[in-house]
Amino acid sequence: MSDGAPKLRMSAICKAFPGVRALEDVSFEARAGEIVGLVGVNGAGKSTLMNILGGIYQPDEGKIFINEEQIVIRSPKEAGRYGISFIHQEPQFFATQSVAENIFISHLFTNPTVSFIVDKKAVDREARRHLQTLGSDIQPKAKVGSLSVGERQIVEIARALAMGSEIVILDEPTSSLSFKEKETLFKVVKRLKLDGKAIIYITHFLDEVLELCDKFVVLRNGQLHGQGPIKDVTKDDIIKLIIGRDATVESASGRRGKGDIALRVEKFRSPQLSQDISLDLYQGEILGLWGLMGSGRTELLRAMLGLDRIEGGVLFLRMGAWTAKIQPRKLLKLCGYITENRHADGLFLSQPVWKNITATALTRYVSKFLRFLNVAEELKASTTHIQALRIATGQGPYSRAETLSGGNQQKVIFAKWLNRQPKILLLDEPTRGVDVGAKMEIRGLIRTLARDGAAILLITSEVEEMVSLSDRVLVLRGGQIVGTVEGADINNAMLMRLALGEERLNA
Amino acid sequence: MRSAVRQWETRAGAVLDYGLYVLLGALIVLFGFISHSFLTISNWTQISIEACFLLTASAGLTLVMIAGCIDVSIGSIAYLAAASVYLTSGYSFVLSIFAAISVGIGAGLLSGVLVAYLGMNSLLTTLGLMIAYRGVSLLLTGGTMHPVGAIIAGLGKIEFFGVFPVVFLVSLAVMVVLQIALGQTKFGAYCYAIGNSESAAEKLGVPVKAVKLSAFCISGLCGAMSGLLSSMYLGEITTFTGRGMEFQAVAAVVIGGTSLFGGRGNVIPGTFAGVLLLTIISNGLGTRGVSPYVYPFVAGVIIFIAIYLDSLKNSRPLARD
Repeated sequence: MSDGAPKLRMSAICKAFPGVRALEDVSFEARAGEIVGLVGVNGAGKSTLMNILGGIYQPDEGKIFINEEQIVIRSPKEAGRYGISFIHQEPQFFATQSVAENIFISHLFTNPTVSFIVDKKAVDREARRHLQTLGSDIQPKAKVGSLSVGERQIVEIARALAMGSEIVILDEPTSSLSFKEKETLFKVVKRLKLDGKAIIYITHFLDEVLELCDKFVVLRNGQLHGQGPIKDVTKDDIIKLIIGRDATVESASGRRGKGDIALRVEKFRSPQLSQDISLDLYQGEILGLWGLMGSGRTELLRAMLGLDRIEGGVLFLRMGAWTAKIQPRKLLKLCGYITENRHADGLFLSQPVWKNITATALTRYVSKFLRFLNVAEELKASTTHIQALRIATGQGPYSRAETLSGGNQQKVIFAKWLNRQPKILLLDEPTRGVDVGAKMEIRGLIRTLARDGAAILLITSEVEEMVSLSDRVLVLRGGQIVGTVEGADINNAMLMRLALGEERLNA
Repeated sequence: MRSAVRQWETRAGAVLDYGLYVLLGALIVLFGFISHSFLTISNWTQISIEACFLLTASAGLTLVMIAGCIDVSIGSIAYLAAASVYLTSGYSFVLSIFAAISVGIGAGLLSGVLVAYLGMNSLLTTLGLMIAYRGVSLLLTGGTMHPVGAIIAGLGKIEFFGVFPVVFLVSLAVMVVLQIALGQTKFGAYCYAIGNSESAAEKLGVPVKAVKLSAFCISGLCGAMSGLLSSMYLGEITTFTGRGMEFQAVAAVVIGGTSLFGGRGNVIPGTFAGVLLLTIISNGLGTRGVSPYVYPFVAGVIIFIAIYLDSLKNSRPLARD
């Protein structure tokens, strides 16, 4: 099947965003009846490359060929017209409508005699045909809302077939699937391959690449770092390509002796975690939670805070001289929590900085009588924090949060939690989307906080940040802890190897 | 444990899906027992007349609500259409009918353009238009009662076989046509798709704006038809024409199982049964001689229950499986 000219060829693609070279001179090709595994860590450029193919971004340089004919893809709609289907992690579906209607929504057949009536029988029949091509027994009449996530994905793949797509991009399709659903999806993708489609399969699970793909393409820092047939390589080879031979980043912070346990997490169980998870967080320690997206790191944090439902587990918190068992929701009230997404749930964007800073500790500023807020006190406290963290605001505490730069907004969030003087800080991507200068300042701040005795749990996607800040790192993979790394072992190669591979360490 | 939850959900689902019809049957039996005149043919002719204005208006609204919007201007459009029937009463009755229909489509076009193409919030847009149209109508009619043309009034009084009023048959025809449009045409499938997920519909090539515009046009047209029917049957227009009808219609549509959040519902049997329920309660209480002020209270309670059930239904498909 994979003889002749490539179905798709992307040649010397370059793309830069302000401040980042997202893609540099990336070329690859995919043939009909071939599954190409596109691998790399978060931020390697996989999504950018596929968004260019999907018509969402325009490349700065480079050419795209379909059947050796050069094309320009200006929009997702045009991508569809060229026979490119992009199947995203979150399926696009209409819950109350039937599977058949979901598959054919953009080109429903009409009755040959009464042209305005939809020929439901024909739609059902054709839907069934496409589903059978994929080897699926989903009923065309079933409502999509009653299907599982995996089945919805298959419906979406059937839609790509129905639209006549020749090139199908699957973006991390297994990240929210159960084991059995994964098997079914693999069968479907293999049928798609037999049907002569060119398939691009984005993932960071190497086992899937080895099982499913014919060819691999490795991206690192926006550059192509190897491609070739799967049969010529081992998993270790691919891991080496993904990690690269960059100078080893070594931990910079001086290791400290452990204090007392500040927070003990015992046997946390939730639907998103495949195994009970226990961990201890010490005073004055920065504990890293390392893992790829979907490894369970954010899920664990959310479970600890009672933001997601848990099936079991206990939290013990040190309060003064003794330790108390607490409810997860209570932890949320007592700790500082910096979320992944500062716009959605980190800041009151339309409010002035001073109100943002005092929001988490308002009880400290209320009067005894009638509980009025003492605005003068609030302003004083905010000004102190603005100076201490060197937050650049146009009008001091009066600037609205949305007028600040990303880095300064992030500092406001820190100030907000510091104002509560928490003993425990949970940080989920504390420097995401922040410029380099602010990044350094925030990292320094995190170190200072730990030195002053706060217990800090850190999640970050940047390996360098993880290595330079953490005193100890727990590595998560597939919803379980697969390694505990300490001291000199904390380096980028070790962390990547544990997150990607199969080995375990002290777990 | 999980299967037990499933079973409970299925059972609760049955209550959500069929509760309305059980309640409707129970009420008919109840009123039949406590009121001698309730189960007579002449009373049911009366019920069909009482229901037909709301039936017509609610049918169009159902489409808009399935597409995830709302149109609260229909009551005022009904009044504006009735006013146009009065203003043209000196000319041919055909012109009156044409005027009413034009008013409806024109008003629907306006709200459709504002909502679909300018991206304005449908509730606030049509709320504004509701106030504006009523003002215009009051200006045109001087805020008083007027008779309409004799032919129009005569047409409105026709009853086939003495039991089927023409106004009811018209409203029934509107319902059937709109149910076919919803259930059997591309337009209908698009309405459901937009109500389910506007962004997904847009990405998959559904002409979202055009579909929304059409839905508002149909809704405006239905509102105007309702005003036309009312002026035909009563032979006059009053300042009460269509007043408060938009909220009764929203209530009837939601009681009929159409989601306030879009994507789910139908005209027949849903909205039809919803209107019938409200009308039967009002009529049944009336034949029993209960104070007319009791009706709004009872209707209010039922609307609350319907909206609660709607929110329950919406939490159903989102449950993790």
